[in-house]
Amino acid sequence: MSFETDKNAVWLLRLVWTAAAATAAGIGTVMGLRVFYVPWLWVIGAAVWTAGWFWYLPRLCRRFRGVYDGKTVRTQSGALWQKETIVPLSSLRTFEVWIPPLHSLFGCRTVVLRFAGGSAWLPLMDAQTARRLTALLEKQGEDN
Amino acid sequence: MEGRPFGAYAVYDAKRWWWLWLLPLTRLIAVPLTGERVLFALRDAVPAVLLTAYSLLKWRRCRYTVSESDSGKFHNVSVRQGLLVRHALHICADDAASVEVERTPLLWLLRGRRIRISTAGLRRRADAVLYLTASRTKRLFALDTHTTRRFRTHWRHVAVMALTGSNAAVGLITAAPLLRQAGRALGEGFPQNVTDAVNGLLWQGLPPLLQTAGNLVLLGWGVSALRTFLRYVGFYAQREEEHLHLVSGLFTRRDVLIDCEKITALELRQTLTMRMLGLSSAVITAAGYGRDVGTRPILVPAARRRALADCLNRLLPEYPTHVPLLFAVSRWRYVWAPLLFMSVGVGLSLFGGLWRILTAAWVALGGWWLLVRLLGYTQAGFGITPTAVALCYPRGLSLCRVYLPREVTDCITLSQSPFQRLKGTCTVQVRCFGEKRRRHRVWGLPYERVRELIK
Repeated sequence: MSFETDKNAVWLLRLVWTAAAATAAGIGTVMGLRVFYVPWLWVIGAAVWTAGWFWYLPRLCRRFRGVYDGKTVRTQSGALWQKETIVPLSSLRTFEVWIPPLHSLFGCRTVVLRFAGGSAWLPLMDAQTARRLTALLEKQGEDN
Repeated sequence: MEGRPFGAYAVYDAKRWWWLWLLPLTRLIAVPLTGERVLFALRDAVPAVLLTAYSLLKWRRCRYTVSESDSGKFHNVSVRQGLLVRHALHICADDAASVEVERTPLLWLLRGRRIRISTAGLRRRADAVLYLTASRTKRLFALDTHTTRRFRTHWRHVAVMALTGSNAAVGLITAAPLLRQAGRALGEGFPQNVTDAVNGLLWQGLPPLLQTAGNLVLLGWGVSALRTFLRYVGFYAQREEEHLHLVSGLFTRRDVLIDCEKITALELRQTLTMRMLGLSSAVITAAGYGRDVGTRPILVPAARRRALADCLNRLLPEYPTHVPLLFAVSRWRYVWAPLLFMSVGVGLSLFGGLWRILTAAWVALGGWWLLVRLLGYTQAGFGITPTAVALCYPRGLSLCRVYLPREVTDCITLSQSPFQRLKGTCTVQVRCFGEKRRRHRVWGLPYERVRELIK
């Protein structure tokens, strides 16, 4: 079974990205921080925001994909720093499905695989895919 | 049969409040002794008396039951303790991942032993701490067993390990309470000519501030080295059926019994000095052991290569250590950090004055680090077999080679920065189940070959 991020996930990330940028700009301006009254910093800020909106966030969503083959869960993620994670099923202790409010709004789910040495996150998956994956993990755990 | 723990329980519990006795005692030994001082001393002694009484009451209310198997060995233990909050604990011998029997000089005088029993869990200290008589402890845990599979470490090798692996900061933390008391007791009476002699011998030409700093570092390192040496001198390890029995210590003797099945990692470690002398240490990670402050689960403090291989064959013959490695190909990843460190030091010299003196020490330290990293690069690697995972990498100022059974390897991550993608290299990180170190990382490996290996 293969999985990837939900097609609406990029809009969720864009919403969070814009909200964070607006909050930072608003707080800085209201507090009267001098740095926020430098025009060229606003230009740089806008460029960073644009790069994030059009390039970084879509690439981040496109890059996340994974495969579950009954024995291991393998994922690929990361836009600039790319990462591949391999979690053998034998080391899996438990798994969780996170549904924060924004995830519900966009129909996304985040699955967290917990093992003794830490955890691996599978973010912003499609709800149906997350359900199928967790059902398979549960079934495999019972069979074992 | 239920019993009360050995009296040393109260002594060691009350030992936590020793610092509360300092103020009243200081008042009493001060000259001249007046009635007012005595009254103030009595007032200041009230918290110490109350807390000491609390420890005594805890001991009186503590009950334990240690049951023995048919052969007279430890089978299970139940402990009920606590004064305000009572709690009961039950541990079976099968669940005990490690048992540590400690004999301090005080316990030797009182003919008692302190036993720490740990299970494989996530607590920060031992699950149960018992105080039993020496004879009963020896019988329960069969401490006098002698097997042919025994390995002894020479005291010279222990000294090398202590001198090269000691940390000045740890030594200073250890010595801080003593230093404080010594400072108070000696006060201005400490012979000035002693400090002058040390400064003249070691720190000739340095400003006083640096001399003091140098003395502190030297003192800290000395205390740490001495502490490590006293802890591991006389060390031997032997295999007893399914347990490892480690014995160490000069004044405080420690017998540690570790279930071999609970060993989750074997690490071979070398500092730069040990490498020059051809010595290595072997450290194990065992579920349930190594939690308490000061414990380092050392299997072999220091030994030459052949002796170490022989020791591992005798003590852990079933542990997988034959893993071919895929070696690192990118040297830059290993050397950029120490080179940056050294260049910052050189930059500081531009400020002149005191900074020029600091630069020498800074660059020397950076150079040492660079050497370690270069050596680490030459042997850095990663390997997988059906039974084990092996990683070889520099960590801090040491060179490490880690062997992990496949079943404790929880997660493997391959990461690539944009530069690594251009060069076709990657960093491998392995996360595993263990008490202390759960992450191991090797940089600069060839990406495609690592992927093939992991498949």
